[in-house]
Amino acid sequence: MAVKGRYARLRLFGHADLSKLASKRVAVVGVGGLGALAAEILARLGVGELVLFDYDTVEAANLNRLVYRTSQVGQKKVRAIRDHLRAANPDVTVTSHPYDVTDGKGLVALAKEVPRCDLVLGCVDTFAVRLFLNAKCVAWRVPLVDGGASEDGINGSVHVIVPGKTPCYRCNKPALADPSASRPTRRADDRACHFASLPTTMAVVASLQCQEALKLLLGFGSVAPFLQYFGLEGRLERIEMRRDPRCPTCGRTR
Amino acid sequence: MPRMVRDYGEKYLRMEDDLFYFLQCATVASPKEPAWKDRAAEERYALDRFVEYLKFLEGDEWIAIRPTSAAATRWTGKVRHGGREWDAELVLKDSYPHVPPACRIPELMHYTDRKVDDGVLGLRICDMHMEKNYWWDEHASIAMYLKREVSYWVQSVVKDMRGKGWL
Repeated sequence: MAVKGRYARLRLFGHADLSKLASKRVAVVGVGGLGALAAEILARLGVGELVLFDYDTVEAANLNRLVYRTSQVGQKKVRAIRDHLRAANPDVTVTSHPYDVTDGKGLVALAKEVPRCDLVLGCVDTFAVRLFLNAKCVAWRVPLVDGGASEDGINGSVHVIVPGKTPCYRCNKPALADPSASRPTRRADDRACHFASLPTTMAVVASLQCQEALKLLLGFGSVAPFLQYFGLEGRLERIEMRRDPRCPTCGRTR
Repeated sequence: MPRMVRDYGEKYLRMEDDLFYFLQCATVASPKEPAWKDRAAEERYALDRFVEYLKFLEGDEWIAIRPTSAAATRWTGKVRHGGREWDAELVLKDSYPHVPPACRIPELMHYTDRKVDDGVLGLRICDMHMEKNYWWDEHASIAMYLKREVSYWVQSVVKDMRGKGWL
């Protein structure tokens, strides 16, 4: 039998019906190294609608990561990725918001768009915004799949938050516990405040994030609440956690 | 008058791991929400307690910050350390207190790498490390940010500049 058409190989997937993705709406917050790739994966899978948030512009320093091209330097990231996704799969509706989600128009857009989404992919680069997204997704009851890479660029983690069911980002003691947390902020290092970014790690984390998102959207397999990828040892670890009843974000005392 | 942290009880606040719990705020409200005026009053109250604490220490450190915009989203003042004084500016985004404030100390910005630059708030002190050593929550206040972030940032930058002979 000839296998033709854009989704022909996807239809051969036996664990779930991937055509159901056409009715799904996914928000991607942050379209940098992780988010741009995750958005492309979701678009190629045939997710019906993607809502992208990022205030940043493409810089030459971003070109070591995937998706962006040299000719796009200076463009808003969400605009550049929107054009890319339309070329990759014209079936996908892409809405882009070139604003900061923690302030002004971006916050308004986030409050308008996210409660109508089936899932949020968190691909941001700071813990503060990650915790902010976590709090908002828990409040709006929208599942969040958060991904991140370590400062040295070689390790990564994916956290799946299903409000009311799985532990939220703040319950996650292994992710937050850091021996330096109880000490004052370290400023001894003379390096500039920029972290390494490796396209290989980004691709691994974005793929893991999309894999978990897929399972969550279509309800097959077993979703891992917290996945840690150790690039130096080539190890992937699934960590089971329990909800913290005293968690200030999702705890029962709240 | 808003309820202060001392009237609020231990239920919602982290007391066991932070001696400076008295700098926390009980009301959780963003600048665009009606309860923001209560929160802003609590922020001022916490700042006063922080200044009292600095006075008690009798150290060579002083921070005086007050709101300078009508909506209390921009707080400006002075930061003093090691006999020198700089203007400081704190900007609160609409999602504050879910995200920490951003701080700018213009006279020190050009001499250090410990800064971040983004398209929204421009050049500001680097708090990447704070975010990693995560302690910020919705009850944390501007006073706590000054104590646990700005103060250490200034100390380290001043030490670094002295080492290089710039100060």
